[in-house]
Amino acid sequence: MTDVRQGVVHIVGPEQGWTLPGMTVVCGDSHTATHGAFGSLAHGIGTSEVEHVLATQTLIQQKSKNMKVEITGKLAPGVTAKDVTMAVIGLTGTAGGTGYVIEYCGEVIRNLSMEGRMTVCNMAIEGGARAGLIAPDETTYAYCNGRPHAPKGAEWEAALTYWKTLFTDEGAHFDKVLTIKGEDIAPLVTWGTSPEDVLPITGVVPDPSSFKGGKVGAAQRSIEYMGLKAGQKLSDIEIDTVFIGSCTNGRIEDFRAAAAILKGKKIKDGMRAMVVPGSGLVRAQAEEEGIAQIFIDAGFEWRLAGCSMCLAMNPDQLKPGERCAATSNRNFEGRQGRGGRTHLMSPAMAAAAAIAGKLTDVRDLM
Amino acid sequence: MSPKTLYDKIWDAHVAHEADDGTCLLYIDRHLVHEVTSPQAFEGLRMTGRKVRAPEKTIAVPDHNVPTTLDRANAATMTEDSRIQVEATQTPKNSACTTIQ
Repeated sequence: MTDVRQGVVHIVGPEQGWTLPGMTVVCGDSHTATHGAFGSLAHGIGTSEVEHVLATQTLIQQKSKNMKVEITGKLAPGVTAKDVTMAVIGLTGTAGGTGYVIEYCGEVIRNLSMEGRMTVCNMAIEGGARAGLIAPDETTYAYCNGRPHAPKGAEWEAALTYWKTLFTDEGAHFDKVLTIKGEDIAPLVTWGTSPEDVLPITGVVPDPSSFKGGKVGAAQRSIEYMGLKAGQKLSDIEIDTVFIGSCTNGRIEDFRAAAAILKGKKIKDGMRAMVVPGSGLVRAQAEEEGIAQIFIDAGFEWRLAGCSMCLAMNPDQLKPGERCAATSNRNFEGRQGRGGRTHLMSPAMAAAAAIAGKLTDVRDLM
Repeated sequence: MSPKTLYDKIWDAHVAHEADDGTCLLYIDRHLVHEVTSPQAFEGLRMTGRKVRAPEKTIAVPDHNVPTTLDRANAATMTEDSRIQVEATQTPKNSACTTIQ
């Protein structure tokens, strides 16, 4: 906990150049999917599999099916990689990716930074997929070049030659295809206790009777747990806690986006707001760029690196009934602390919520 | 040669063995390790007298349990269980992997 490189494992791996295109990457953690942003096959494994890999450096696997998710066009201002990945889950549901490895592609994905691509792949697992993948390109190579554990010199050139073969061939078969227009994606929030409970911030808490089959009861229970009412405007939901961080959104670009909203502003009186860097190196960079000071001046706590309030396995937790605008990846009952209520969103949206004291449309602050 | 997806290409490049029923043994390039899901696995290795096969490809860093307050060097902010788990990724008996302290 004293090494400046310490941080969330899925942020440390890419940052140090341990994660590279074409690799297989595993970890005893669901959000290993993050590393798929590099065009590496990456997924979580269980503890018995951890032991198997430690001992043999191999893993017993059945091949998954291929699914293509294409995001065309451009994103509107205020819409980020987090909104893209939440939009996909909103459409497929949490089981829509079950049995598949998703390849994300299209103009929107090509225009994302590596940080944004990691955010997209990170939540592939929340859509049920085994893994998420993005083919490596110039953006990927530029990110990897010069990292401490990336290849150097002639080895770099050889690696680059191989990485350039890592794309889906023309005419290759996908078992399932989903296409989304980038222009159709709005800043999103979750209203319920599943990552598929996604709506644009301009929406209202849904009426459970509008759902089909078994989902009626689930929606009813979600709304009760979350302390909401059907028909309530999402932008009227008051919050008391803001958490910016996690393997989903704890990278420098996430902090830049939040700081751009917070600059020169204060968070609402009484708000508990914390920003937790994904690694000691992200923390150092944010301090160097003056971003840390923007958070501190706005009233945020500027923390040391870790998983923090994403998962309530450390001292950073919600108390029963507390309601949090969170940039993490899971919102099930008790995820951030027993009885805690989680609304997932992008870092810019979380920053806007910290200022307004309620869920709010970041586009009104831009 | 039939066209392949990106997933097909990475998969094919890592199959060490394929059984008749299609189950594959996949080679793993990077094994990332954190303190919550690894202590039992390390203990399992110790009990069976096995070693980490590729220490340079096995990278351990604590993240789930660590406090994020500026005073975290003070162990009092961690539960005993958390402290034991963090140490399990870093103590000499498990240090046959790459560790970030």
